[in-house]
Amino acid sequence: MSSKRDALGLVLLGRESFVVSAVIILGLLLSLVMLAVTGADLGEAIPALLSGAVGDARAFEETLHQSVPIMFVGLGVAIGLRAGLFNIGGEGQIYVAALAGITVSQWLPIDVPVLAVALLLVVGIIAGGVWGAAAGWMRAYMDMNEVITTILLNGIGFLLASWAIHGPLRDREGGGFPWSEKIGEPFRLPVLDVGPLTMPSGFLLALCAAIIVWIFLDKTVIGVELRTLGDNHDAAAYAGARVPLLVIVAMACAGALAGVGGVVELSGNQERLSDFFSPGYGFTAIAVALVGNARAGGVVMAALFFGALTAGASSMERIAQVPASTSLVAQAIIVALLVVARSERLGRWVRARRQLAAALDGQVA
Amino acid sequence: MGPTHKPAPGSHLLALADIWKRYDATVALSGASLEIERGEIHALLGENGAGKTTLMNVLDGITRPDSGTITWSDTEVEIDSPKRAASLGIGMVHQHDRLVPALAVWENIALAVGSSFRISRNEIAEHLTELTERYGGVIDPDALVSDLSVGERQWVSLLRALAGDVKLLVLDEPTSTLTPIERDRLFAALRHYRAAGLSVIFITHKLDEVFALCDRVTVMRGGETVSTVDVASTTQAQLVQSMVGRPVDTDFDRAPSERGEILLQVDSLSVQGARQTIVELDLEVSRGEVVGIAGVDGNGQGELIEVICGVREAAEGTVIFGDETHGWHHGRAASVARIPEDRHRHGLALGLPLWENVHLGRFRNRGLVRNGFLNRRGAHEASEAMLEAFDVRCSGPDQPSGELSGGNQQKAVLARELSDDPDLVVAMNPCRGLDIGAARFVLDQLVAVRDRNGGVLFVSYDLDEILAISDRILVMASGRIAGELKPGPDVIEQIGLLMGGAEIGVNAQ
Amino acid sequence: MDAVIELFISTAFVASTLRLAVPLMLAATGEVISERAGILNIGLEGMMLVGAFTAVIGADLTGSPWLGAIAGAAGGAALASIHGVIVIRWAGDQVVSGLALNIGALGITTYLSRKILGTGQTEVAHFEPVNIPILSDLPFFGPTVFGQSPFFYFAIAMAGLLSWVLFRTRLGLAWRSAGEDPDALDSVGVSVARTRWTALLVCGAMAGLGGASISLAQLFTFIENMTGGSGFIALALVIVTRWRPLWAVGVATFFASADALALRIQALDVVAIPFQISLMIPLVLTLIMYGFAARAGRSPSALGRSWLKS
Repeated sequence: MSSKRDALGLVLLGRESFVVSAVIILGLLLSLVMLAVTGADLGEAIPALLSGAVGDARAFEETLHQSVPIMFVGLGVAIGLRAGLFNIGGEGQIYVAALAGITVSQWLPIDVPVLAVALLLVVGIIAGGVWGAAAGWMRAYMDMNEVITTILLNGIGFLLASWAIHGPLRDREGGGFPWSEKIGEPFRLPVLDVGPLTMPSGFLLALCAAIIVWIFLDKTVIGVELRTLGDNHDAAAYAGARVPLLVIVAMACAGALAGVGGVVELSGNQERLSDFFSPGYGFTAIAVALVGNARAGGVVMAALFFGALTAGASSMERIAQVPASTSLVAQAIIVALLVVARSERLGRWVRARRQLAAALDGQVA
Repeated sequence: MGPTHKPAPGSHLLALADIWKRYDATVALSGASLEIERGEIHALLGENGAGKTTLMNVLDGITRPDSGTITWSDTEVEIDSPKRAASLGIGMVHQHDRLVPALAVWENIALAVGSSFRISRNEIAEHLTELTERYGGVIDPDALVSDLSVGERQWVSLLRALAGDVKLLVLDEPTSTLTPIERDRLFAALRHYRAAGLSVIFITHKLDEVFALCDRVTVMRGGETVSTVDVASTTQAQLVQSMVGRPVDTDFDRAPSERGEILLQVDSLSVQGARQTIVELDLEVSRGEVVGIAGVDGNGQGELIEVICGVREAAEGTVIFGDETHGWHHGRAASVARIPEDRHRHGLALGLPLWENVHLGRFRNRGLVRNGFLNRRGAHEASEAMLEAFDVRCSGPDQPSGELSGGNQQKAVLARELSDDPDLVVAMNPCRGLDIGAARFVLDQLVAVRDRNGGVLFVSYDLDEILAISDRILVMASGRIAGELKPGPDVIEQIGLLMGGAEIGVNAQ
Repeated sequence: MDAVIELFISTAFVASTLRLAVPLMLAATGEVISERAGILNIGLEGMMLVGAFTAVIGADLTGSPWLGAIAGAAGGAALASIHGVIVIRWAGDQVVSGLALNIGALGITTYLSRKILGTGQTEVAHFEPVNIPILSDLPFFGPTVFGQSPFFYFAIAMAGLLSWVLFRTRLGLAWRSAGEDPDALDSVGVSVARTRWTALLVCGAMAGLGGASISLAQLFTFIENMTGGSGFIALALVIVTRWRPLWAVGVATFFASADALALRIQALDVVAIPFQISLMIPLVLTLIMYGFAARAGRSPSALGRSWLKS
């Protein structure tokens, strides 16, 4: 059924995936051109990039690690986009959730791993959800654009976490580094051995989240209402949906997913909270959601791609001394090209060409 | 076809000859023509959809014709942009003003007049005073356009058009939103204008104005020019005949209506609309009847339907469904079906598949929800049946509704709204933009509702439709019900007169 | 009590207020013009960052801070023109385009600054404060208020100039129409695209200068991500200014005073507030100001909606 195909984002033969692939390839090429023009040695850089992403089991594990937080946050951004809202607040939501997570883990040092992790996830959902709902409320009732409010909340969330890191949560025996203690053992998400590969369990959780999001958007009444809101604001109101509530729910869901991403990153990868906990996951997640066309399946694939890109870029910096910020440039070019690809003008051009072709084929009734 | 004699040199200011314009499958203009002499006020008469606006868009350079010629002062010209039209000396005053609401009057005038870098409020205010002295009216140059009444805005648009070096003034339905006093002032201004040797094209559907003001009149119908005559040598009846044309297709076989209980009662409704104010309007719809509201666009029908559907607030009055009073704020009564005017804005979520659209807002009512989860299989099956019943041509319930043709989209909306056998149907221009087959289908559906003892409130700008299915016809003009008629011989004339502002019959005033 | 007085009534407080206000004034004024014409410019932060960077490069290459400032303006305008191609020419989504530009600006300035300037911090030719004769001899605040960097005087002058253009010239009228009702503007024969382009480029140049004011008049070098979010704050402040260029001066100053206050509280250790919390104060203040303004104000009607001639 086409809705299944659509929901899983595996529209391999459809036009959208062709466009996205073309944009990605073009974006990467332009980034490489930029590197070459500014004197980087492509002969060293490209192999380093590739080996860092998929070269061996370690690289592959790193790619998966990098893709986990952006998959979670990307799913959140995707829910927002389907409802017509922009959640730029991933950064703040990650920090707030991770902060809440490590704090709760210290207050309630549970011994049983399954319970501990479950508690952590719940905390992440609530903390991130509240942070997202705040922006949602401001949009629904105060008419405050969520792009601006989420960005401001990012700053506030980060500062909150930073204060705690430098203050009450600081690791006394940390050798003077400003970071928190490691999160307790039972709370950590293990890395699993899957055949020749090592896979972070957080990755499996992220896949579960993707499935849940897919079910939520496609198979529940609220999902239909959210998608109607994003498609046609008037039709949603007309169909009896309570729009302000929907807005808050959508932003809360987006925040909750980002929050889970934050705690999973905490317990499954970094194990501590520090000022550099999120190197821009919130923003990369936006690119992920856009490339994935706000569909669960697309987000999964886009997250893997950008995760690989990030892993490869840091290896590129280590080995070939090409700054890793190149990946940011690549992201920006890809997103900019996507905006053009989905722009009104291009859409009209395509429609006009189609009509012309149809007219040339014979009279259209 | 109108006369196609070669104009005597020097007498014609403007001649549009044999203009054709197609939009995909629709022919908007089929060989239309128009000749304007110097120093005349020339009426352009026709129903909605007759082609008047398209012809004027050609004249104003907004639309390029497929073929035909435009002659200005005996020279053939091409008008490819509004700037070109303006440089020739053509000034347009559109029906819906093209002013920027957030700016002041003087700023709006400055936008269209002059070319200096600095703009001086005082200079323009002086210019404005000159114009108002010559043509009348009192306008505060510093007032924001959004604070002006519709009539005042029209006046500002007119003054703006007159501010340049204009030889031909084109007014599109200028009086549909004016009070009688404003209208008289406008006529005085136009006569003044004519006396100076300049010309006016006056587009209208109001017959009394044609006779009160104009020298000659051209009637358009179906994209063609039907006739051009001197006003002095024709009658209202003849003009109506030319406008409406062929006899109405009344092969809707219906039993005479038996009115039952009242389903909808509107009492003393007053609404402040953007374009039209409704004042103390009453109407009733009962079981077993189709009530048709006839009238020209812009007389309050849209606002009325929006209030009834709960999308707009009324200043005063009540809307009562069955025996529930909703004041003017009605929620979604399950047994009221709404077929909105603009199916894109209010009806369908174009990106969503048909099966979801067809149940929009009604999942719970139809028992398709369990614990928050959609019964997708059930909804899907139900939608198949519904789409089939309403003849929606599509590739399946999964097709995104945006891909369907206009007619099929409208049928999908019908499927959604009518499948639950609603008691009352409120439909606003449901056949707009549809081909004959689809339009006929829609009308059949409405009649079917009435036949199974439901009630229908049906608003249309197309007189033929109203005449085809209405049991009672209300004519709406200037925000009021101007009269109530029953279908029969001569009813067309009466409707035309009522629409044009004459007042006869019930609910006069 | 003395400490509280010292907090406010001090030349140091006024000095840091004005210093912090300058980049916000420049960026906010530019954004006011852009939004008046209907273009939402989320990429303001990126334009400031690029401007800061090109200004340093320019000053480094030419040895003149003035040429560096011009380079800063050019850098901001260059990034703005990318935004323009996407949202004006192609009528693409304004928000996403802006976000992409921010990320791209961060990436490219970080990358190039490492390549060109190395990882150390090289100090470049910069601006010394300019003392306005006579006025700077006024008692108390004379030297402070009238002894600011040239960017300060420029920001105020530009706010005045742009205000005049916006309200008293045909160009400004076109800008305002493009932001309220582009169809109406189009119907009188004025090019909406060209109108929006000029507004956007003005905004880019001003944002670039805002960034330059940080790198050439405050820190005297380029540091990665040195704009630190001021572009986003400026975006929120624009709403408080009710889209009036002259108000941008006042709003930016008010906001900067809160920022300076937070720093003073830190420095003077008046109350023991951790420095992250004091950094939060400006952000929370912005949210509150935005909250009030969003309810009361009315943005240009066509803001953020890309428009194509139909």
